[in-house]
Amino acid sequence: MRDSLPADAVVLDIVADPSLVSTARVMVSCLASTRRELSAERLDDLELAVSEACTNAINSYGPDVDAPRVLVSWKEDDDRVEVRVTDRGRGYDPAQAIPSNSGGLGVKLIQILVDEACWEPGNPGTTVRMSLKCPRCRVEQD
Amino acid sequence: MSVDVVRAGGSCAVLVVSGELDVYTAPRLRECLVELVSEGTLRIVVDLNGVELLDSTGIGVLVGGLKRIRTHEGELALVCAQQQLLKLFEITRVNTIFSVFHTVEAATAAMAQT
Repeated sequence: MRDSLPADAVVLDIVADPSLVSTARVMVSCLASTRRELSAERLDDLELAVSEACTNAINSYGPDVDAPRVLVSWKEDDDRVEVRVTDRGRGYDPAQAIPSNSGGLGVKLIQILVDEACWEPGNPGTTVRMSLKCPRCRVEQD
Repeated sequence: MSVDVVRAGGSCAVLVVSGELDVYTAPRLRECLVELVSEGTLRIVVDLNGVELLDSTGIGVLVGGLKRIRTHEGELALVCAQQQLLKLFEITRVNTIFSVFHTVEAATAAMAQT
């Protein structure tokens, strides 16, 4: 799952377990709050979007999958950050996601909460790419 | 996440939820709602003012609780004054199916009239 990631990405590789979704949120929240100029509201939006993507990644695995994993990565440049959430589950079509169930609602929320979101089918699995426009934190010079 | 049940008189209970309500913790809230309804508590106020994060699974549990209680002709109301959660309610249109109050007092007073 790491093959397509940029060499300078920050990567979290976790077991696909609901108890670890908060770990993904903490990673992204720490990076975003210390490295980017983001309002508290936009930070909350990004955290929730990452949470929804991880939840869908975990749910994409069937019950009998051996050692399912989810990869969360952070990549940034001067004016935007991109968080990717990758699984090797059964895959799903976001266009077919129904907002009345929680997975479909998660897709809708991601689309609203971040500036750009796209779903790339893997072989197997899915990568959700979410990006937010925000400048780097200014470093005060003496 | 923690859920505390506070009896508010009659068949009304206030569920005070705090922390993060997500795919890992939401089942605990579901269990609590199911247990209250099955023991005959048909007026429930869910106080979300201490919730730091609410995701689609948490929203699903709240909607499921509302459906369950309405099949018993009861009512479930939400208490929330946080802008981030209120924004989420608007996006998901949850505010069109729940009564949302800013304080527990306002919610329990409205419940008493139903």
